[in-house]
Amino acid sequence: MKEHFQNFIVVTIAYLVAFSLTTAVIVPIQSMYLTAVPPAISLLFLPHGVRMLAAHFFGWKSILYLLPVSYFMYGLLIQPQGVPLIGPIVSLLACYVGMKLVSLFAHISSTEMDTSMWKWLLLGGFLGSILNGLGLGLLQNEFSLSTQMLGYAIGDVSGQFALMLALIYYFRYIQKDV
Amino acid sequence: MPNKLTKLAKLKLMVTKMEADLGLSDHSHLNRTLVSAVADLHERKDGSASTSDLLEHPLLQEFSRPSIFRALKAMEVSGEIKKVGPVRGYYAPAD
Repeated sequence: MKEHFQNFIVVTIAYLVAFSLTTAVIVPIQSMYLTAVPPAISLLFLPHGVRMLAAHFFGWKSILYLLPVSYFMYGLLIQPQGVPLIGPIVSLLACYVGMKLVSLFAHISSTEMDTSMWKWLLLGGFLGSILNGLGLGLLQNEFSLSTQMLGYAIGDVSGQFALMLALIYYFRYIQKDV
Repeated sequence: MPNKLTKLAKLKLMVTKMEADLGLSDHSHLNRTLVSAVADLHERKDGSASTSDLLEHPLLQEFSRPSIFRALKAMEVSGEIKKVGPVRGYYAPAD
């Protein structure tokens, strides 16, 4: 029980920090320089990285861990964009299914899965993002392949990559510190 | 607790692999810097770079002596640099 609580706290804080950075720093910069991109689509959506890492390390439990904070952010920022109430569940489920699909592929070559896990994780992130875009698009009945899905995929995968890069420097920093 | 540590270790391993694949690791950084320093000394010091000159080279001041020695040995084995001259401790860029 204690372990679940710790996992829940870690992913909740990571998601909050990633979402805050995206909303407070990345989106305003994007709005200044890339005016053609709708503000609802972040081209560097860091929380997707948290969702994918959680899906990789905690499996289906990641959905439960991330659900409260996803609904918190939904109520705060996403609901006004017209995303239906079931949106956060669809997004978390899409990430889990994306990772699950990749692990099915990886069974073909488990060695590759070990040595290049980060690449598989990015592929899972891409699949999860496509599924997320499809799901949310269908829910909103305004599905547009060119803008919405592509925007989600670019933002989600680049955000995931940026988050993983940030982890490299975080581990480097704490290693120097000890 | 062990489960938590395993997950952290796996995350670290994955990130370390990513770092190496992208050429961002300290090891890659040292190797690249060392090649530059050897090339620089090779150009300025009659075709070879001595270990003592390398240790004093401005580009390599951020690295420790043991790291530089280890990297020199590894890079010589991998063929990135080669030993030159009749005495030990002189290097040149690989052909």
